[in-house]
Amino acid sequence: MYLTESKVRDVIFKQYRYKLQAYFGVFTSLMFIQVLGMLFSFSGTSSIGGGSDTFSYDVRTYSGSLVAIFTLIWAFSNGISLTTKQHRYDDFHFVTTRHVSNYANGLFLATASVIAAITGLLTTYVLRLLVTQVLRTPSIAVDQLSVIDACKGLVGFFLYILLFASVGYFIGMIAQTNKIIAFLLPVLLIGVISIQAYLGGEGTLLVDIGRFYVLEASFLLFTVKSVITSVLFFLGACMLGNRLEVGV
Amino acid sequence: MVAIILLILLIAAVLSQLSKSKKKAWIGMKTTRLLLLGYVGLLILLAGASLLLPMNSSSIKMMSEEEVEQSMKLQDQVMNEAFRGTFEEENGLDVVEKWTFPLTGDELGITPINDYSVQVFIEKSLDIGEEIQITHYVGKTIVNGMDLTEKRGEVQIEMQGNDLEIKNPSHVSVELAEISNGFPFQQFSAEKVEWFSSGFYGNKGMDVLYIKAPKGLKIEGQALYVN
Repeated sequence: MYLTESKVRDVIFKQYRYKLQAYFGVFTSLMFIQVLGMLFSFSGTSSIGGGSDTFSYDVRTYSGSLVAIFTLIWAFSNGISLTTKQHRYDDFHFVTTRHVSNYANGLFLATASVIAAITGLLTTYVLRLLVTQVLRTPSIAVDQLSVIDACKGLVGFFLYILLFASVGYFIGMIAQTNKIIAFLLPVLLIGVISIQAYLGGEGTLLVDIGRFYVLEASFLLFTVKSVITSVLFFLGACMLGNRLEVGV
Repeated sequence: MVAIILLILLIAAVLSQLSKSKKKAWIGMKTTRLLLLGYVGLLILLAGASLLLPMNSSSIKMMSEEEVEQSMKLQDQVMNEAFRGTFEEENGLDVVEKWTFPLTGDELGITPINDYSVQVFIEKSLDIGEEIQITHYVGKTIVNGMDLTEKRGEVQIEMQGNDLEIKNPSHVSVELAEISNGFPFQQFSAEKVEWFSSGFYGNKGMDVLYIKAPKGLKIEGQALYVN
C-alpha cells in the first residue's frame, strides 16, 4: 500500500504525453523526408517516350508513391529508434514497467503515424499543384479520388505506416536482445533474395510480401491483414522487450 | 540499383541523426513545434489551392486495359477482313476526314509521298459517278491507357490532275504529365493499382484510306481491292 497509488492507464498516458514532447524531433525528420520525397518526385517518378516520323510522345509520371515510400522508411526507422537503450532508459524517469513503456510507445507510434498519413496525403496535392502550376505541362490525373476514396486512402496509408513502424519496433527490439541476430537478419534477407535470383527466378521475396498487401483491393481485408500483422509484430516486440535485462 | 542503395543509406543516416533523443536535439522543442505547425499549415494551404486552381488538364480520355485490348482487337479485325476482301464502312474505327474529288479522266494514279505507311483499300462501285470518295479511318493510338488518337496529325490528300497524292502528316510532338496520388491512395479507389501491374499497355493506330471509285476507272499504285 502506497500513499500515492497510480493507475496503470494514467501512467501510460503520462508516459505517452512525455514521449510526444520529448521525441518531437521525429516530426522534423518527417518534414525533411517528405520535402525530400516531393523534390525527387518533382522531376518525375517515371517516363515513357517513343514515336515515329510523324508522331512522338513524352509522358512523365508524377506520383505520390515516392513520398509514401520515404514516409514508410521514416516510420520504420522511427520504430527502431524507440527501442534504443537511450530511449528505453528515458522511461525510467517514471514509475513504470516494460508493459507500460511498450503501450506508451505503441500510442506514440500510432499518433506519429496519423500525423505522417495526413501530411503524406497533403503532399500529393502539393505535388499536383507544383506540376500543374509551376511546370505547366498539360496534365492528366489518372486517379480522381472521391472523398470516400481519399478517406479510405488516408486510413490505408496510416495502416501502412503503422505496419512499418511495428516492423521497425520489432527489429529494433531484436537488435537490442541479440546483436548477432540483428546482424544476421539483413544477411539472411539478402541471402534469400540472392539464392532466389541464383536459382533462375528473380529475387522477388520482398515483392511477394509486398503483393500480399499492395494488391489487396478490398479495404476491409487490407485493414484486417495490416492490423493483424502490426499487432503480431508489436506483441512480438513486447515479448522480446520483457526478456531484456535492466542493464541491456 | 546502386543509386537506390546510396539513397536509402543517406536517408537512414539522416534519420538516425535527426531522431536522436531530446538531449541531442539540434533545434529546440518550441522551434520544432512551430516548424511542424507551419509545415502542416502550408501543406493545407497549397493542397487547397491545388483543388481550387484549374489543372491545365488536357482533353485526353483514359482507357482501361480491357478497352485498349478491345480497340486493338477491332483494328486487327477490320484489317484482317479488309485483307480478305471485305471492308465495312461502319466498322467501328474512327473516321478522321472525308474527301470527294472529281475525276478528269478514266485513269487514277496513287502516289504515296515520304513513304508514309497508309493502307489503301479501293472499292469499285457502279453507284459512283465521275468522282472518287475517300474516307480516312484511324485506329486508336494509346499510350499507357491515354488515348492520343486526336493528338496525331492528319494524312494530307491532294489531287494533282489524275494523280492522288498521299502526304505525311506534319510531325506532332505530345508532352504530357500524368499525375497520380500514389499507391496507398490508389489501392482502394476504382482506378488501377500501379504497383506490380503489367506496366505499359498501348497501341499504335493504323491509318486506313478507303477509296470508292467508279467501276470503269483504271487505277495504278499500291492498293488492295475490296468488296
